[in-house]
Amino acid sequence: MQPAPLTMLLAFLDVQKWRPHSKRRGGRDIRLFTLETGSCEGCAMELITLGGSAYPLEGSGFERVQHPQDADWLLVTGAVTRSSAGGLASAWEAMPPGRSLIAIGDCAYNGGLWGSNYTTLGGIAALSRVYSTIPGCPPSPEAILHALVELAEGGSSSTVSQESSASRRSRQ
Amino acid sequence: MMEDPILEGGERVGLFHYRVSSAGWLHFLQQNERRVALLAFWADESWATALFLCAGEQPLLVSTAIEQGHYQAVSPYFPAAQWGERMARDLWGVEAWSARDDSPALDDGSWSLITPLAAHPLPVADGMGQPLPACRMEPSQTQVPGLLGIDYALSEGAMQQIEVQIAAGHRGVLSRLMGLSPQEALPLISRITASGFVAHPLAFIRAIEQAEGRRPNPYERDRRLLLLEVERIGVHLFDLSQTAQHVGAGLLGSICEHAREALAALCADYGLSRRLTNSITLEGQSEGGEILPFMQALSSMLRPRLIQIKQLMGLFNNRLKNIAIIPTALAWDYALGGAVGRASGRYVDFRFMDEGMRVQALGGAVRHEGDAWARHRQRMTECEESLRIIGQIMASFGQERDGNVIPRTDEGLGVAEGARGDVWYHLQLEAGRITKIQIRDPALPLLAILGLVLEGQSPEQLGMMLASLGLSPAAIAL
Repeated sequence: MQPAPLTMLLAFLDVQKWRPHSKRRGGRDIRLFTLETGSCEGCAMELITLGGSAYPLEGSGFERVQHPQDADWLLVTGAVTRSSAGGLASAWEAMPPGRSLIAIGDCAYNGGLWGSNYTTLGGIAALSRVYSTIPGCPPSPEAILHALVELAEGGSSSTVSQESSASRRSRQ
Repeated sequence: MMEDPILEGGERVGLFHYRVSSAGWLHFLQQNERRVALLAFWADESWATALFLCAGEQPLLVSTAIEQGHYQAVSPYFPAAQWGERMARDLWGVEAWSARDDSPALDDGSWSLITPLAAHPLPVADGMGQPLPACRMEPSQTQVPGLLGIDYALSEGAMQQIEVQIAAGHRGVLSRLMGLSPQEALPLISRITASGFVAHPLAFIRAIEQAEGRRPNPYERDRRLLLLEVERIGVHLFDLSQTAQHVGAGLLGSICEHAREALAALCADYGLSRRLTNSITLEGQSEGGEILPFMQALSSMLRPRLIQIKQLMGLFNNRLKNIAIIPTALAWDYALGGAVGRASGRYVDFRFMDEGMRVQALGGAVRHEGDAWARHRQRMTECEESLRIIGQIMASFGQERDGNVIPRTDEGLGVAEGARGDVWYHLQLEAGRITKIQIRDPALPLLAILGLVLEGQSPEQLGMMLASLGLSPAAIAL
């Protein structure tokens, strides 16, 4: 019998070594795959805007990719509906070793105002012990970029605090 | 307010609201199939309610009691009702007799409850629900910001037998709103959809004010009207940029993106959130505050940018023409609103009904071609129109106008003409708390015709077509 998507998700996400790494891997850009999991679409629209011409995403050492198997970092937006959990698990499973998970916006972190209910799981915080988060509702493209750069440069809980645009959380 | 021939009999229970027997319901549907437009259909465990638009853009709510979990379906007469019927079945477990489609719309088997909004929902063990059929294009793969699954068969390179799914994006919005006070509900309403951070809370607040028999002061009324136009420009710029990027018009897309970001920065400079989240409040603001300098700066910043955008648009006409055509008749049949409806020749704009609206600034050229090019042009026209409206409101900001005093009924119907069309809220209050609430976003009728619009088109153009339609599934899936 196949394991339920939620079980698969929990198994894959709770691994310490999948924290964001401190710098570009092997001198190349960090590859980003974005995944919407149930939201007002605000954070997803900000990520689309970040990938456009108004912000230097590529010039800051990042590259957007179309498939999770090509990605280093998975950027998640939305409160993680039960329905989208399977897609999140599949995307995570498809990523190569060295992968990292980043919750973009309050919903992706803890469900935001929606919390958890019969249809939502309440964000990454309810699913995984290891992830990074960029708070905001929605965070601006500029804030997202700044936080991504901080994470890429090795920002940790001591240097990247909740007060700044990025924060790393661990409940171990 | 309604002429007798439209609705015979029935008990008037609200300003626009009548209740009819099941026989009266069926009679109404049969008699008015071609005389009124259906805007929305909702049902809960007690009542099935249809929102119609009659002559003179007058709304009409007609309800009939749910009898032993059933009611006569609206969709055989008004096909646009089918999504509402399917959602009511998923959320409350009420069934429509003779419905055009009774497949699940929201419950894809992943929920922890069956009929979660019913008085007695049933728990479901993890992984034991009935999944929806897999889509060729899964919700996370479709090139829209939200979750929209599209299934189709390919015939000689063209899409056929198209089915759309929105279930993955369902957040349980209605269940969260039930029992809240308007103040408690507003932050959630303000996050229904990113294309309506102003329009949704504004329609909600108008419904609340109608229910409570209140009117906003003229300063707050004008402030809201201004913010609605700012949001319209921002959302149109997003849709213009996305459509442009999809057809390889990178420069045009870039200019639109930069204009939208400059607009967002200006909002922040003047103390608002970048995308106007939480900018609409229940209590009302001061007498203008910084809104007028903000509007002044916004007009000065945007005017030259819109000229640039307009000049560049002409270069890409051929890439947009005859793509994803919505015929005029279809736009009327399904009450398509916003720039999409107006680009197809359905010029219905609920700003004409807004108290305090400077209507002389409205009424830009209406298109009828109904293709991606017409929608592109219409959005640009509406951005220019918004600047005219802003200018006229600034010239007479806070001017008192006559308005009808309405009694408190604890039932409200509110509408706001958002960037992507008319947003409606119907709600009931009891002891200051929301006991019933239903939401109609303009994406709903668009979703109902999406299969027809995409039929025969190449899947390679799907991203561009969806961008051109400006479809946001979040506000439908709720």
